[in-house]
Amino acid sequence: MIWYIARRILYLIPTLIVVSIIAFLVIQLPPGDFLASLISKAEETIDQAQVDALRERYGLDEPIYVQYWKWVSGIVLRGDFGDSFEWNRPVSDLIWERLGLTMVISLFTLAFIWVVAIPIGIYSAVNQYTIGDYLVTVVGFIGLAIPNFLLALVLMYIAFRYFGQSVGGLFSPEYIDADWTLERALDMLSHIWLPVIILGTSGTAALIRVMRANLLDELSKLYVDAARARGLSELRLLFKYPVRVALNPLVSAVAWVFPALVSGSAITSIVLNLQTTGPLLYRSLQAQDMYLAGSLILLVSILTIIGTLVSDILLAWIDPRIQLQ
Amino acid sequence: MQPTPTKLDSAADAMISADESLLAVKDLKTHFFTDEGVVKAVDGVNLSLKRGKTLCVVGESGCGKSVTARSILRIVPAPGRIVSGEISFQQRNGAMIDLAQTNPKGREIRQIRGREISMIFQEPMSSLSPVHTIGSQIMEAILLHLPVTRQEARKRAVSMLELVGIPRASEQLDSYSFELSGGMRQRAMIAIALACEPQLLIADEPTTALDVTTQANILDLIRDLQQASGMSVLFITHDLGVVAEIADEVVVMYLGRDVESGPVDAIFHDPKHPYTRALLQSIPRYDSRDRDRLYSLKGTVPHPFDRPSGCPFHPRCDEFIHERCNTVDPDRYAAGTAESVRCLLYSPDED
Repeated sequence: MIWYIARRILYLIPTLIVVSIIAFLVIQLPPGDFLASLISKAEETIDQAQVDALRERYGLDEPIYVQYWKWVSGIVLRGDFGDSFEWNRPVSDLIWERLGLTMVISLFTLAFIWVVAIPIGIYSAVNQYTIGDYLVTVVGFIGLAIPNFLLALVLMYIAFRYFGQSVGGLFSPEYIDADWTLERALDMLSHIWLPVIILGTSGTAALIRVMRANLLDELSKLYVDAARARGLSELRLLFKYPVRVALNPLVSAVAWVFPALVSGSAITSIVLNLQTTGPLLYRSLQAQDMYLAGSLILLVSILTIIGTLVSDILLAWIDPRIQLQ
Repeated sequence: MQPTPTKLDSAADAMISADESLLAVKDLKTHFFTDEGVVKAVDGVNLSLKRGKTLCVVGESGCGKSVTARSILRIVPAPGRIVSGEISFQQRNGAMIDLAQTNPKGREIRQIRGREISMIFQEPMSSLSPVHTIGSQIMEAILLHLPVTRQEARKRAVSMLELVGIPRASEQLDSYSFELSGGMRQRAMIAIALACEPQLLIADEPTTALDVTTQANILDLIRDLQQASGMSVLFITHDLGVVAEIADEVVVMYLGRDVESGPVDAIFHDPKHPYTRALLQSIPRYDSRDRDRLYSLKGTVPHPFDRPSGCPFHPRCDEFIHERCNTVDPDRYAAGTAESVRCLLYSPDED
């Protein structure tokens, strides 16, 4: 097991190198650069000498591999992700808190999805083709079909109208720029349920279907009958055998749920005015703020890779059928 | 000399109350209520099993053998349900219980499953959990029914594995089903089934999915264990060779009914029902001449929704009596050495 983990971690290195190259190339793909988009938006004309001076200052006239090397060596050697052109600040100043909040929201959402979807999925499978199952199915499909941003608007209205909560953002106004204290954390927790529900709805609906289908497959297996013929009670039987087996694929799904939450939440985060990476990435891509955008894409990719690793290790741990040779 | 044929109802009643009888199924009907209609998978089965004996249930695929077996343990899958009938079983303490009346999810039947009646299934590949060790499944059965500690249960599990002939039993206890061969898995299933010394073992085609050599080994094992423990075996198979080898009594089923039942010798040497005769004629014989064509039963088992009127076998029967067999539903009649035959040929009312 330890060797397996060590080998998997070793494999991370080439993967990360490739990912960093792709992240950088993707940022370079659109025509023009940060200066071009700056000039196009500027109201007065900027003379060519000024542009050349800026271009030299940002290192935009150097060949692409030199730019890439500067960026990557900075990250690896000094933890320096470069500067954001638009914000005029180091990228690392901008992203860490946002990345942290994104992680917090994602983990809460993941927990929400699992806690809600797994019991409902089990209920739905065990009571297949009953009124309860149909009800869950209908509600599930509605949840799947409603776009997140629309749900965000509706729930914001409800939160504001009926609960009198300050909507938008993760903090009450007085805590937005405050330092991290217990009060600020509690304030965040009282706001976080709204984005968690909004971001989790479609995932929950999808997972209910997955759990239901997985469990239905397992329920008709002979080992379930065999365990029942041994005299096990229905409830113990259900959780010890078919549910246990049906959960395995969900563990491997953690890896893809995670990046979907991080990147898919951009529009919702803009609507909700969340201080997460989504809106920042969106803005930086529009402005061709290459070091900021590249760093965000790189970090999200790294999170995905780590998520895959964690889910693979978990799966190897809980499923004896996976051979570690 | 043939005794005069009589109706058997009173005789069947007497059998159930006989002391040596362990299990008596009377007119069991298990139907499946699907969206397309009602499938009468089991539609009036009678069988009885004495202590220490082996009863073989034979018939083609889809004749309701497995559903009968599952009905006894009340593990018929939805949308199946026992509609009527009686399953009298004598418990260890001597009390009689009608299993057909128990709640399939209730405590009563759960204390019988695994403790008084155990079952092994057709496919040893899928009847063990893929993610639990063999040991955890044996110990589960032991801990569920016997007042022992985990350590004692583990010891018992090891000795069960030794009993069924699994080598290096204490190591294999911690292996998973996918690490064992098909034959070893079926041995492990037998170990689980017998862990609490049940009075009755139901074996639902336990050798069908195994190769011939392994089949013979498993049959020998079941027979040896039966002799050692004195348990009864209800053996379900479509293989008449297996029946000849292990059965004391035989019930032949067709379309959810017992068509003929009796001692194994009577069934093989003096079959009464045209269906039983046809089945026996379909076995290839080593002493037949090269040019003889193997007999094959005409037609196929009818679709469950399209059950023939009268005797359900009449469209395929060589001795079909026009206007009788397709209108009259035959009762169970005594005939010769057979205990009962469901065929108008043996009805006292027919000439």
